[in-house]
Amino acid sequence: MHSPESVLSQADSLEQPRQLPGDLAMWCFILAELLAFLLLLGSMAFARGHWGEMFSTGIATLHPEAGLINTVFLLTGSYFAARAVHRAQAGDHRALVRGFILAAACGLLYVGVKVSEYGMLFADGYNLRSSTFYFFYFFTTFFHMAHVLIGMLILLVVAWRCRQGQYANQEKVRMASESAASYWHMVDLVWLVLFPLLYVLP
Amino acid sequence: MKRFALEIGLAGLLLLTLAAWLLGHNLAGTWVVGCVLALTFVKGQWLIDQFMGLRQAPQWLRWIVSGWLLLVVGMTALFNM
Repeated sequence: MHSPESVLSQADSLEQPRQLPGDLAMWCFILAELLAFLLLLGSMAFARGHWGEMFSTGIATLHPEAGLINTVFLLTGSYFAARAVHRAQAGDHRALVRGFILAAACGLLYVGVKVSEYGMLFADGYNLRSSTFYFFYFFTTFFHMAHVLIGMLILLVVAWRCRQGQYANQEKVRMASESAASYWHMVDLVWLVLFPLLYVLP
Repeated sequence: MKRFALEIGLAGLLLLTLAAWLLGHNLAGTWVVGCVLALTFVKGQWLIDQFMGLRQAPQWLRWIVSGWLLLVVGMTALFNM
């Protein structure tokens, strides 16, 4: 006969089942996005190595501080999203709404810096057709920025629905918040690779 | 999750970003490219494990996302070192 204490102790020692963070459909979408970015970033890395001089000249016309500031914005946004998910798991739905709005605000600051950088480059006479470097620069960063905007929209929709009490139970809140945050982190992960390619590597 | 783990994670990621930035803008050479890319991989894996929460997720998913990161950083190293 086992004592209640020993049964509880055994139950505690059992490993928790590993759970997918969010919805499987969202993860299929995220993995498809990562595949698209793999092709794009791989091509860019190849082009950077193949046309080294052209890339060095092009990179010299960019604004490295803008890249650094945008990295700070996206990492901070990811932090707010992750913290919001943890608070939501503890049942604090107001913290989830607040955290997702703050993460989306970080995304908005990112977009502001990126658009102003585009503006400065256009004013200097550079565009998508200027050279292979500018094609890669504008195409890849614009494609990424479009994903930042989609991520912001997903975060704000989940925050709004949570605020309106449209999720039937805590499990629905968990699924929606983890799915939205996972997408947001994916956008951040892609930027972490794009950042050294354009703004850091010598 | 430990208290302040996310705050420590954010501080670590920002510090590594600054370290890579200073390295890339003040020094040159193949080893600098290697160091910056190594820092990029560490930052990405940190984000995957802590912010994405894939350390507690099914292992196949963590392997796919970490494999993606390794592949992209590896291709950059292959073509630029």
